[in-house]
Parts: sequence; structure tokens; C-alpha cells
Amino acid sequence: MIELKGVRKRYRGRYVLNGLSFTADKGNITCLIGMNGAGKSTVMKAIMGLVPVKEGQILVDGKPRGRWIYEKISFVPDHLTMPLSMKMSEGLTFMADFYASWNAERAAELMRFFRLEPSEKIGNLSKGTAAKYNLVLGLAPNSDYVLMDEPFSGIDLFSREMIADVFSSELIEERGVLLTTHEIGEVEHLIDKAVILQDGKAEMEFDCETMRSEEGKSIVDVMREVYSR
Amino acid sequence: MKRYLLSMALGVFAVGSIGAYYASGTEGDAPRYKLTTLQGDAGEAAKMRLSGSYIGGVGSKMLELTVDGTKYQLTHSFYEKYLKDNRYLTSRYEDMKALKREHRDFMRARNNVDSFYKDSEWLIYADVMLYGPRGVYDWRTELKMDVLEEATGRVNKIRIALNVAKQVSWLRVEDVQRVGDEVHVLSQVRYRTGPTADGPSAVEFREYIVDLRTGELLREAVLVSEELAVSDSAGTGGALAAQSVTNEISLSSISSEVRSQPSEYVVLATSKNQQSVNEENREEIKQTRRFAVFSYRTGKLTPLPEPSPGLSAYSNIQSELNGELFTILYSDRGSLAIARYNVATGTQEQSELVLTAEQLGGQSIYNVSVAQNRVYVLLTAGTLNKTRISDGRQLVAVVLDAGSGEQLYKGEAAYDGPAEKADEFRKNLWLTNVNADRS
Amino acid sequence: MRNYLKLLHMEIHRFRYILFALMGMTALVQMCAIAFNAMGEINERNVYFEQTGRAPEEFFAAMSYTRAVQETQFWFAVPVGLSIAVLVIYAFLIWYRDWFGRSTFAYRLLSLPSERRNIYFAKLTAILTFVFVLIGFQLLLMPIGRAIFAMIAPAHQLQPSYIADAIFANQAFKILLPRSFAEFFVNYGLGVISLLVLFASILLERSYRWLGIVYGLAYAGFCALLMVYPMLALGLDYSTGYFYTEEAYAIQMAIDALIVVSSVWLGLYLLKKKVSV
Repeated sequence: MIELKGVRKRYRGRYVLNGLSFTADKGNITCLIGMNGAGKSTVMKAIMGLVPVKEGQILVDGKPRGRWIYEKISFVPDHLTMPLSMKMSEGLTFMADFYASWNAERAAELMRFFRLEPSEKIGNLSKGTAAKYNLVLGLAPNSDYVLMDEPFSGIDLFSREMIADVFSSELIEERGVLLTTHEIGEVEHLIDKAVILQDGKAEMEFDCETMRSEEGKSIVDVMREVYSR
Repeated sequence: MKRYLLSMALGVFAVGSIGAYYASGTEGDAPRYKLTTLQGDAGEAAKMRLSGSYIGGVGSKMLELTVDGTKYQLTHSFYEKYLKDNRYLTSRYEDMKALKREHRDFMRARNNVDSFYKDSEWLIYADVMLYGPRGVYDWRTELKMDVLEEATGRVNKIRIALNVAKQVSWLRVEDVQRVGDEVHVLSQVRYRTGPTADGPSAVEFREYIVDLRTGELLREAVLVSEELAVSDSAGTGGALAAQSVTNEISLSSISSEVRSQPSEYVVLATSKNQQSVNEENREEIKQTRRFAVFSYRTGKLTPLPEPSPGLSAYSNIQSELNGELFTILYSDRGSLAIARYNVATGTQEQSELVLTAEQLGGQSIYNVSVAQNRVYVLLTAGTLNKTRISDGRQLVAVVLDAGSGEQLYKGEAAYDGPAEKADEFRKNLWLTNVNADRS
Repeated sequence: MRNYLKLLHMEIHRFRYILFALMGMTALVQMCAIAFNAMGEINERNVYFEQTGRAPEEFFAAMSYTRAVQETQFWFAVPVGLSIAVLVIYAFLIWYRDWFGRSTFAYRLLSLPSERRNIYFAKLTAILTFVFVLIGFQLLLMPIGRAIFAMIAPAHQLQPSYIADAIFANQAFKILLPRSFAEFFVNYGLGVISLLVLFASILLERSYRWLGIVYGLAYAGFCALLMVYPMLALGLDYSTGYFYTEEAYAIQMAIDALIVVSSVWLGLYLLKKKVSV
């Protein structure tokens, strides 16, 4: 379980995260929802230790985060993070070099699934192909959790369908997924838990299934309620 | 591992090439020379240092040649070249180095070798300082004396404001000696006698006598005083212009060789240079030197007998005071002369010794040096009737006894390497100076 | 250790084309300069012979590689200066290229399971490797130049040259390739210290952005002042300073060590705890 407790982070004078607390369980797909600039990406980066945090705790499986989480959590960012001059195959070799949890067979399988050409230079990829490559890098390792930052943004319809397929496959089944997205409609049927961010705090944290069956509300309904308050 | 070939190759290349360069020696073309003994005792040449340059194809490289071999200055680091010798006092003089080891703090910031006095009980450093100016002619002078008592290690810092009535422009401590409880500080003072800075001035040897224990100034004495004439300008022409005379007077002291041991005497020298333009409009320089012995104990200044007139023609003069013997060495290209005096009696020890270059075994005397009763001579031999100076020229070093003039050692600078190259390299060696280590 | 070496290899690998380009350019410019110089001299001699009918050896001194190096100083210095400029720029870029541009490799580097200090030392060692490879290559070019010179110059007019003397004939090499290894160590040691201070300043900027630039400049300025303090204040350059030479030298070295330790510590600390993407 990934747990945030009272996390505060300043950025340019204001508190982007102001006492944020929520949990994302293993086996669940949790979605962070919020307006632009609400701090969703910042949460991801904070969990990954890519930005320092002013106050609060970030716990993974009960222990405070540290270097050790990198074998347990994979990150799929919303833009390219490999050197543009590298070929995709070299990128895979890079990951294999450093991660004990890297699974080369699964990586090869994913490359085939997404129909990616390994000898292609990363700098030459289109946006959709790049997003798929990021997914390969994020899903190939034997990690317990996967963080995805805007996995669908700016992707064409067919690529989006491919990516959505991945969510329902066994690649995701036993892992904990934390993702952020604008396209609620696309993924609503996939999400187990939703966390709505407002003013740097978790305004609402709920199980989607329960919300639908007990109160008959979809996630979008809840969102409307929260933002009109 | 094969992937990393590039990085490994680059790393090995970098380390290897730089290592090879520095390991193989960076002196380049720097042949080695040696001093071969032709006659006499090589031990006499142990302290001798010959310096000059090797002039090969690429320019000149300075070197130093001793009985131990050749040393080039090429591979000195920046530190060795510019910084190491800035405290030259404690890095060049052996007795100063020993003092530094014994009294590290006392020796800090000392820069005048002549300001020291040492015997078994006391170590004294005396300096005269010029401060100022507040007004244009208000230069404060102060005598600073640090007295270290060897037995207790205590340092007494004495500061005396000197009342120099005249306008001092320059002063320097020449020697420090102790007689009983009195410390004698011999200094040279230069001051203006007129109202303006360019006007007439005078130079003096003055003695300040300070009580060792109380630190009070007991008395002062002027030993030698000379007026420095203002140079008469050539002016507007006429009869006066035909003979313009400039006088230069300089004073120097020759104190005992071993500066950190007591000595009763010091020799004071007055040298007058008269530059005149004679009737044929050519410049003539007449130089006269007079010596006098001063005894700290008696306070008497005794002039030494005038040197023979022939000696004033020599262009080069060096001298040394060693115990009671005062040696003057005159030299020029063709010959050298040695005059010795006993300072206790004020008389000349023996008649002057004149040795020509031929008598020494060569043609032309390049450089001489006198140290510790020895005279060191660098001369060339074998160059008569040759088209180029370097053909057949031998560089010879000779060590003489300063008293008898006897040749104690004669050596030649030769190439230290394969015989077939010896002649070629001999021509490229240009030695210019001889010096001796003073311990 | 293995991770450090892997990262080092990656940094070297990324830069290899630029490195080879610098080496190639240096070789081309310098060797051509030597060749043109040799041919020019031969031409002069031929002209003399045609005009006077006398053998050139009577008037001209023998041709020497050392003199050729001395005469082509400007052309030798151009690629050296360019290489230095490129390396200085890359000392900045080796960090900033991972943050700016279409791809932010910093995300990957900072989430590697290995210690972040391996990143720091890999980038540091990479820069040093480039510097010493170029120096070594320059050393290699000297005997090659001598061989080229010997091929062009007629044998009877050629005077042998020592490589060390030829190197010293160039003013720039007096600093870059000094004759004394102690001096080499000091010169490049100062360069390494500057690099460490630079890295600390860059990481200050990457951690605190705009304020970080101020911190970075302040830190660099402070270190620079501290470095020159012994020379200025302790009177090392004149004879009556209070400290003996070896004492002032020891103080200077202690200050240098202090700056090294603090810069490395600061850089590692920032990279581990404060840097952000």
C-alpha cells in the first residue's frame, strides 16, 4: 500500500499540496482526480522522490520511502524520459542494467504487443508511440506498484484502446496502480478507487463500485458536487 | 564487458599517454656535463658551483655544474621557481636554517642577514625602520631590537625612537656586534642636507650603542661621513661644458663571513667614482677605493694602507673578512690580484699577489669568487687562433689558496657521455659564473 | 561500484561523437599547420637558391620541428582553445541536458535504484576523462607531427628535435603540459576544484531555481576568495611575511582540501535530498 500522510509541498510561494493524505492499495487501480494545477503530477513526483517534500510522510508497504522503492514502484511519466539519441533497444538495455526487477521477456512481449520497432531512435517517435514505449518501460519490471501520469493525454484513439486493453490484462492484475488523468470518461469503468484533489488536500476518497451501487453516482457526478461547493 | 570497450580504451589511453610523457623525462635536450679533475684535490672543489647555459639547437637552458654533476632548472615546479625562495634567508644560508630550527618564532619575518648577532648566550636581531611621512619631512626612525636569551628563551623586544635631526631618506643595518653589555648596531644612513629632495645629500656610517639589559640607547657615533655632490650639469655650453664632472660615492661594509658568530672588526669601504668628459670628449671613469678597519671594542677607525696604484685599474673587486684576515680580490679578463691585510694590526700581510690567466693555465678569466680563504676562478683555455670562440675552447675551473696563491685544484668541464659526442657538446656549454657555498 | 561504472560509460558514450570531432579537428589543423610551415620553409630556401645560386645551408639554420611548433603557435592554439571552450560548456550541459529539452532523462536517473552519488561521480569522472583524453591525444600528436615534418623536410637540412622541447616551444602547452609533474598536478588540481565548485553551484540552481542561482554564485564567489586568500594575505610573494613558505603552503593546501570536501559534500547532499525535476 502506498500511503500519504499530511504531505505539504510549496511551489512558487503557494502550497500545492497542503496536508494531503490518501492511500493506494495493491491490487487496486486508484485514480487521482483534480483540476489543472491541482498537484496531481506533483504527488507522483513526490512519491518517486523526484521532488523534495516539505512536511508529511510517504509510506510504501508501511515503511518510509527511500531508494529501495525504485525496485518496487515503476513510473510511467507523461513525456519522454530517455535520451533521444538512444534506440529503443538501448533504452531497454539501460533499464536491464540497473534494475534487478527488470523482466526482459516481458519487455520484449510488450514491444511486440505495442508493435514497436526496437531499432528505432527514441527521438523519432510520435507522441502515441512514445507513450507506448513509456508503458513498456513501466510495465516490464516486476514491480508491485505502477504510477502513471496522464497515460492517455494527447494519444490517438486507437493507441488509447491498446493502452486501455493493458489495464484489463494480467499485466496489471496483481499490482497497485495509481494514475492521474483528465479523461475520466475513458477510464471510469477501469478504476477501483478515486481520490479528488482540491486546495492541496484529498477532498474525497471513495470506492467507485460502492459509490455507484449505494448512491447511484458516477465519478463525474461526485466531481461536479465537489467542485460546485 | 565488450560494450564498455570504448570507455576502457579511452581511460587507458589517457592515463598511459600522460604517464609515459612524465615518466620518460621532460627535460628534452639536456646533456649532462661533469667536472673532471686535472690536478689537485677534488675536495677543494666540493663547494664550488659553476653556472651558465647549454645552448643547443632550440635555445639556451640554464644549468649549474658542480663536482656532483649537472642540474638544470627546467623541471622546477611553479612553487620551486617563484615561491620557495621568498624566505630566502632561511632557505639559502645554512646557519640561518639552523637558527630557524632552533628558534622558529624568533626567525619569522626576518629578511636582513646582516642584522643578526649570535653567540652562545645571546641571539640578537636589530633593524632600523623608517616610518612616515606625516608631513613632507617627517620621517620617524626607530631602532627595533629583539634580544633572545639562549638560557631562558625569553625575548626582550626593545624599541628606541631615534632622534635623527636631519631628513633621512634611506637607512640600513650593516652589522650587529656585542661587546660586553653593549650592543653595537652599525648602520648606513643617507639623508638630505638641503631643503629639497633633489638637493645635496650625505651618507654616513653610524654606530648606535644600546645597553643589552636595559635597552636604553647609550650613545651614537658617526664613523664615516661623506657629502654627495650634486652633479654639475653641462649647462648651456662654453668652457665649463668641456669638463663636466659627476661624483658618485658609495659606502659599503664588509662584515665577518660567518654572520651569526661574533667578530670584533668590520671593514668600512668608501668608493668614489669620478666620471668626467676629457678634452677629447670621451668619458673617463676614475674609481678610488679606500678601506678602514673599525674595532667595536676600542671604537677606533684605522685606515688600511692604500692599495698599489696598479690595482685601481681592475674593473672587478670582491672582498672577504674572515676572522682577522681581510682579503681583497681584484680581477679582469687577463689577470687577478690578491691583497691581504691583518685587521688587528692594520697592516698588509704580504705583498700583493698577481696572477695572469696564462699563469693559471688559460687565456681569459671569465669570473672569480672569494670565499673562506679560497679563490675560485673560471677561465677559458685553448682558444687562441681559432675562428669561432667555441672551437677548441676548454672551460677550466681553478681553486687557489687565498694566502699563498697556490693552485689547490684544477678541473675541466667536460661532456658526461659517449666520447664521440664529447667535442660537439663541449662547444655548446657556456659557463659564465663561479660561486662557492658559504656555510 | 558497478553502477557507477555503468553510468560513467553511458556519459562517455553520449559524448563520443563530439570528443572524436574535437580530436579530429585538432589533428587536422595542427598537422596541416606543420605541413604548411615545412613546405613554406622549403620554398624560401629554393627561392634563395634560385636568386643567389648558393646552397641554402649557408644562410638558413637547419630546419627544426621545435621551431616549426614555435612558429605555428596560433594554429596549434585554435583547436586547443576550442576544445577547452567545448569542455567548459559541457561541464554545464552534462547536467542541464538531462533536465531541458524534449526528454527529461533526469526522471530516469533520479529514480534509479542505485545511490544518487554514482550519478555525481559518473558525471565528474566523465568530464575529467574527456580532458585527459584530449591532453593525451595532444601528446600523441607531437611525435606524429615530428614524423610528418621529417617526411617533408630534406634529410640533410633537418635538425633532430626532442618532443619535450617541441612541446615547450608552445606557450599554451607551458600551462597545459608543464615540464614538472608537480606543476601538472597543481594546474589540473585547480581545474578539478573549480569543476567541483561548479557542480555544487549547478546543483544549487537545480534545487532552488532562481534563488539557487544566487546561492550558486555566492558559493562560487566565496570559494574563489578563500582560494586566493593565502597568496594575498599571508605575504607569500615577498620576503617579510610572518609565515614561512612551507607553512603558508600548508595553509593553502588545507583551504583547498576544505573547498574540495565541502563542494563534494554539498553536491551529494543536494542531489540526494533537495534536487527536483
